[in-house]
Amino acid sequence: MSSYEIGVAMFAGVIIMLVLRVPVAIAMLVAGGAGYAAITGWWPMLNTLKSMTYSKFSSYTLSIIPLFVLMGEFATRGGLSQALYRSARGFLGHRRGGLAMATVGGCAAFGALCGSSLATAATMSQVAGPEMRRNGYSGALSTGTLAGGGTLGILIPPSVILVIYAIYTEQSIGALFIAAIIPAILAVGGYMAVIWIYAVLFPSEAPPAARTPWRERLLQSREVAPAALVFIIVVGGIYGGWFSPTAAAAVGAVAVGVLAVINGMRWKGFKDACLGTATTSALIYLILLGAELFGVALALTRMPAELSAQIGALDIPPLAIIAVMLALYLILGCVLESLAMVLLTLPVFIPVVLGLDLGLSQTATMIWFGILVLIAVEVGMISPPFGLNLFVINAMAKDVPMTATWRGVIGFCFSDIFRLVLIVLFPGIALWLTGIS
Amino acid sequence: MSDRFVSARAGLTAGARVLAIAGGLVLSAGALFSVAAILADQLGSPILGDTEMVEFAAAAAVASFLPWCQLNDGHVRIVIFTQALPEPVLRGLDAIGKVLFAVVVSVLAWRLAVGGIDAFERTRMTMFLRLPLWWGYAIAAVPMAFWVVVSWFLAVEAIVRGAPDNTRPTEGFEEVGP
Repeated sequence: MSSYEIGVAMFAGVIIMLVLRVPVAIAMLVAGGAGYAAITGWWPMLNTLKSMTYSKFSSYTLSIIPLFVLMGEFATRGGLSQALYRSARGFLGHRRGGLAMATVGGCAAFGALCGSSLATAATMSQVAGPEMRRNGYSGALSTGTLAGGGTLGILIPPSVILVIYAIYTEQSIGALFIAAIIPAILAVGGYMAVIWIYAVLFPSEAPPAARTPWRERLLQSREVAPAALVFIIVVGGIYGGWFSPTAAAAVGAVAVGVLAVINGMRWKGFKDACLGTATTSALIYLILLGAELFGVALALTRMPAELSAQIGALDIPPLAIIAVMLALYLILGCVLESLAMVLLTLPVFIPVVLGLDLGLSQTATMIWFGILVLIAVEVGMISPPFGLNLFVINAMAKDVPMTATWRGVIGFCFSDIFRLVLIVLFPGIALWLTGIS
Repeated sequence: MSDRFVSARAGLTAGARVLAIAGGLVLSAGALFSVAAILADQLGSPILGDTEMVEFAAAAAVASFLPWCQLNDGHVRIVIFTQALPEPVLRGLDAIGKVLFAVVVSVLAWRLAVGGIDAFERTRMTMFLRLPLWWGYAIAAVPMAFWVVVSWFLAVEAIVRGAPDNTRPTEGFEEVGP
């Protein structure tokens, strides 16, 4: 076998194992290990493994991940979501579709503390879901809003996917966080517009709720201040260079932990936060380990470099190639969880993207593409019929049929795709705040 | 026979739970230490090598998290393509997958141990605090060894009595993740 063929065989092997229910990380480790050994022999491969596991686990840069996960867990167990939702409801609830808009607002605020879309959707489901249903909102609109709103968890920094993308492509975490801000604002605006249109088309599905007096609104919005402060310190701190991204995550975890304790989290809540952090961090690290071995082995085969040269030589506009990659994420979102998708595709996509002539500097290209991947992956997770997050959210709202969730989420998907196209055509939306071009 | 599996699983789960909570405590301690280092820096008496303490904490924590995640079937996998297959085939596939998992975990743990011995023999040190690097390996090796036990238990359990509960998830999907 030529080394190119070994590279292709590695991908084929991963896909076969995935279809046969082998966990993603194990499939990547097995295919990566076998590919590595096929090129260099078994002992060099085993020698690599001597330090690989420990150096991943003890990496200071990567330790930002469990810290952000812990921060999100504290935010979840500490009941911070209630306060955030209440204050958004105070300002928006009496409008047409207002409770759904408040859900989006609450998700956005919670997303500033939590880097995961599933956790954001799950947490807000418990708070906003019953509230919307009680007020006569349809199952379609409520579950659709939660699915759409949940993606804000990962779009608004801190975002686990962005952190991993940044580390993988050796870009600044701070720059990527900042680049995500305008797209995130556009996402919130787009979601609000979708809800408004939905409420106009189907007024009976989104009746206005009781108006909250101004005095109460202001009182409630005070509760958001600590969460906003944490966001500013963490994201501002990273970008302003006050401390390293990992230190910022540590500050965030401690600060949200303190907020959670003030809000009533005790030993039991802390234990649950630890166990939740354990599950999420372990699955992320094992996939990272798999991606490392797989990526190194794939690079040894030189398959990605050759492929990118071949694609670069094709007479296809660069943007069309970008579009194909993004479309692939939408499809993969039906079967794969977002992080696995990203780590499986980046070893091939990054050389290809860097080989395209897009009229941007290399750094700018990487940051812009990172934001695109982030959005595409999230649309994949919520696009009907098989987006994985849809099933989780639908399962939490027991009385809502899956078809209703599909109907409710479709508008949010269109808004996401519209935003994706905008950012493809106007990279400045992502790059402007970072000052990189 | 199957009772022994039930009690072994309960025992391992309890152990993994304690380990995961301990890992969470270590991670939280690392976070607190990091914050303390930032404050000390602001006050003009910087702590040297705080990043190395965080690294030790992270390595210990992550290694302690892994058995818990596997016992809870928390690792991402795709089940949609095989949903239509009959139950015995699924059990067979899952048993093979778990053996593969156990083999991978064993190799990882073995190589980590060898790497630790290497670090010991070459007296490799951390950069700032001059702490022996093998300490970190040793702390991580303990949960890794437990993880090996857990992964082989799950493999044997799947072979002997079929994986419990998870051959046909009710939602149709395994979903976990960030």
